[in-house]
Amino acid sequence: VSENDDVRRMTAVAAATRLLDKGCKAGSPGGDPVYKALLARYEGDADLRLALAQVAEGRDLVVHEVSQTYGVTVTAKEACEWALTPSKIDGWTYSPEPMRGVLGAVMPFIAAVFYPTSAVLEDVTLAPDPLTARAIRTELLKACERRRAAHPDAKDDAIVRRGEEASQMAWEIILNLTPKDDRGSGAKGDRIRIRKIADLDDAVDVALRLLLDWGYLRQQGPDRFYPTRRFQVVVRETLLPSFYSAARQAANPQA
Amino acid sequence: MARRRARPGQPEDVENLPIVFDGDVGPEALGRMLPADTAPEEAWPDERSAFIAEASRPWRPYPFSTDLTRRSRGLWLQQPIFALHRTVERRLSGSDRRMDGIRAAMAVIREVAVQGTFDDGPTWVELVKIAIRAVREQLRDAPPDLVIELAELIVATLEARGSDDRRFTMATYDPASGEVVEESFAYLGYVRDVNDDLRYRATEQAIFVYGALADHDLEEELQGILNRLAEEAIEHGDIGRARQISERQRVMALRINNNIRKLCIDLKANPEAVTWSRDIGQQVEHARGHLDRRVQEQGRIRLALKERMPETSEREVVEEMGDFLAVLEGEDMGLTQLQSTLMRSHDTFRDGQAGAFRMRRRSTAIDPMAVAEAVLDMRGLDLLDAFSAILPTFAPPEEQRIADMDRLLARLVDNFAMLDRAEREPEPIEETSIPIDDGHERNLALEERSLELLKLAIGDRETADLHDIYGVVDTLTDDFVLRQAVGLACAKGFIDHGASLGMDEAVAPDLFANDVMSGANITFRRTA
Repeated sequence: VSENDDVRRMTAVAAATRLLDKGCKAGSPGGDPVYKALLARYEGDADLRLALAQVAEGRDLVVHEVSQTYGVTVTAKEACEWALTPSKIDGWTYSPEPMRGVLGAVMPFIAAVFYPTSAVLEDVTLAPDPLTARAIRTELLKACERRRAAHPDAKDDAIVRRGEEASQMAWEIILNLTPKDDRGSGAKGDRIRIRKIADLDDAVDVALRLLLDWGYLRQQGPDRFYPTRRFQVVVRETLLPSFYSAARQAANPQA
Repeated sequence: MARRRARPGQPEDVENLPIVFDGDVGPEALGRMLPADTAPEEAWPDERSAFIAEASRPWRPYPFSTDLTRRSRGLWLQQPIFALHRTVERRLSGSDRRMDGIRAAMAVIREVAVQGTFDDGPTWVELVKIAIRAVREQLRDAPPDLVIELAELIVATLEARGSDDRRFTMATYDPASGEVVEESFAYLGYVRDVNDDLRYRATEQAIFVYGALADHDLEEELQGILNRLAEEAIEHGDIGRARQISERQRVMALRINNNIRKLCIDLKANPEAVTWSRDIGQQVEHARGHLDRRVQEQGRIRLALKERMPETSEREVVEEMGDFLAVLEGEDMGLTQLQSTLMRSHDTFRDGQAGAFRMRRRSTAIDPMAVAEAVLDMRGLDLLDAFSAILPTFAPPEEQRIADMDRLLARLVDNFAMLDRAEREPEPIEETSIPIDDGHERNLALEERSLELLKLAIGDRETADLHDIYGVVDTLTDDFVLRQAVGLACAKGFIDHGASLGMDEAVAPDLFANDVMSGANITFRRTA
């Protein structure tokens, strides 16, 4: 009750700032009475809605969804002071450039594994099944094989010299990675941090860990992951359109 | 302005639904809608009057009328007023005078409504005086007999004298019996007071027509007036009267509130009606604005009452005030509830709309898997550039300083662990010599300074987390290098107490409650 009173006493701008800060953290409003009270106030307070839009604009953030159950889904714009830069990703600094690119390919792929079609992506009632890191990696390799089949003129098992990987396509890089021993689940739970993305397992691991950190995935048991509602919104609103336009741009640089 | 209603179960077909009602209300449309015997006999006047021009334009919907039958009913209700205007124009046609009959009639309705909101309303004589004032407003130098003639004409029209006039009957379809029922109406009704005088009141139809023609909501304005009256009554200590006025105000508000409830139901029932979006939004805004105003007004009256309360010593009055306050508070709660219902319904409506849009988008949307495979076709370098640009837009913003310090610490601990390992497993050192320069001494000084800071920061605390430590450090220095050195010192303390190879082993018992990887704070505990 006291939280409700506190929240009610706040000015709209104060409440909007607080709400936005709550949204920036990965958690859902479940155990946070202040967060819940703020969301409840948001529902009935036109001033707060306006203030939230304004504060978000001022801080270069984009609010995608405000829901009583799932909280505020917010991402940064590129110009935002607090936007995540790649250099803050574990292992980014020491990873060779092609492997960084692989990480870029893994992210949209994880989204696609959970939401393969746009119908699934639009369906708010559907909860995708949990998947293991290994299953994701297998799917990715299958997809790369499909890409190889689609490019019959590409040399089979081309031996690529050092420094030339960057000009290869992502699927080529991935297929050329030397396979490692199967380490069971594929998620390196025993390792604290990955110093360097050296193989596909590392890339999948880093991507999964980032998505877990951001509250886009949840872990079920030791090695199974399932997407949250937040992930669905973000994939639909920014991740997919951005990668789509990037891929289109790369395919037709003149356009 | 075409409106389409979606039928339940056919959300995808919103574009092809039949148009239920075409809102064009020009002279032709009006003629089309009237039965032959009540159609205007003479041609409509050309745009001689600005008001007629206004009325001939596509009609702005009454703020709350999502109900189409109500809109069409509005057209019937306006007939006698238009006829009055034409009669006035005919009467003045010989002279060079011009009078807007609609505006005069609206002025009279408004005045009667205002007077009738609390008091008994004007008598017939007062009514004629009001009408005379309304005529004089437009015809300042007209001879008195003309003014009186026009005023009487207005009064006669408004009170529907000679009620066998077909214009004052309205055919409405009764869905229950399936028959068309004729209803008659008038703009002014009357009651007899104790002296057997007639006291006039504006009818509901008049207020409705006023809203449509004057493009202004009379009911809301009347409420404002009542509110001021109630405040005045409280100021004069007449609590009974204030309560009575407030009661009246509530009755009047009930109708508007019912319309808002109806709007809520409409919003919930027609979420896929994509084409409604624009005018529904306007109506919701209006309704919300009205509720906001009402809440404010309630607040003002409550405040006035509370201020008044300590001044009063009579017990009954205080009790009455308390009752009144309770009623007001109850109503305030009801209003807030209605407000949030409205918001929720609007949300449902917008979600439904978004769903409908998405459904349409789905046919053109590209599948995520197709996108992911297209990304696999990108060249490594292109992909790297694209990923660096896209990453910030789909990752949540960073949890700011604290998260950064945690990350810094984790990195430092890692580096120390690496150094530790290097010491134990010496690798052949390449031939590089590290020149010892002045920086070395400076660094030592930095380390000492940072340790001092850390001691100050930890102070007498038994436990401290990075938040506490940096909270103090920030007040003592804003030197970034020094801040980093403090972080280093923290990490060093960490290492000195048992951190070696990996983080799992780095947790010295009773020293750190450590949860670095999950991003939670490290808590330092004082050791013996």
